[in-house]
Amino acid sequence: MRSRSKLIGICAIMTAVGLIIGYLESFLVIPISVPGIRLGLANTVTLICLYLCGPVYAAIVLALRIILSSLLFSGPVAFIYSLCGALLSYIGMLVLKRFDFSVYGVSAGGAVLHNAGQIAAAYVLIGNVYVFDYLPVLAIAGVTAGLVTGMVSDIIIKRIRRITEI
Amino acid sequence: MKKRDLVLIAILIIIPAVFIAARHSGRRGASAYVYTGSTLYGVYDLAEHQEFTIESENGIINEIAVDDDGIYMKRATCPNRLCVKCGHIRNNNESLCCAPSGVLIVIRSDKEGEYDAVTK
Repeated sequence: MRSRSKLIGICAIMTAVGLIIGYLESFLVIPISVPGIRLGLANTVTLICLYLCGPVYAAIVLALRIILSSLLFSGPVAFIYSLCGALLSYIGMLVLKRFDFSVYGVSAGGAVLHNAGQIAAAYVLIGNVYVFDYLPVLAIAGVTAGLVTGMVSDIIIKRIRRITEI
Repeated sequence: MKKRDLVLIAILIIIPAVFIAARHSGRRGASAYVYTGSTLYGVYDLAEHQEFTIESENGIINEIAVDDDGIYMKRATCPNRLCVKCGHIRNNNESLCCAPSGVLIVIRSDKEGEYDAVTK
């Protein structure tokens, strides 16, 4: 049975988990000459909600997560970056899911678009075309990270479906 | 994983890889172009050891230095200091960016920076 309260419950847990993952992950910086490459594990939360609860709930969880995380941890500039990344990756993930890609493809594509969105934000904020130089490196990093987060999401989605009907 | 996922992943790896291979020859650059936002702040010779400080409009201070390994952010007062953690850059077309302050360093092969400075 697909009850509304169950969906809200799952979304609340996912928002909380996503916030903590995102915060913890900010301590894990990979030191190469491209700033800010992350695993993006917090995106697992969006993916799980997208598959279990549908696009509307996933959008709410994503919006809550980036608003709360910039209020609590990262500040207004980071909010603009995450908003641009999140918006682009969310739209991309919806499209990829509609075209029948699996969690892996949706996650990898979403990760690349997230990076593209952040580069676009950097271009607007910094105003220098050279920031697009980072895009190829970030795209490859995004695919790699996206595959890992896709795998994690795939496992969790299957497990949640096994223990509860949703 | 489905077949179409593999195709998508392959495309997303191959196209950027081609771009990277085309832009980064791995040859050592001659000068570092330092931008603050969209304006050229200065051009620095990579053969010369030097240090300089840029204070941005938003109060963030970036200390940049050149040594044998290339150019790097020595110190910065930005919140996360990702730019400092990035370390040195030295080859053509490599770049280093401090997103909060908008300071951007790009390595190029030409010795002099007058041409770009004039066209700005």
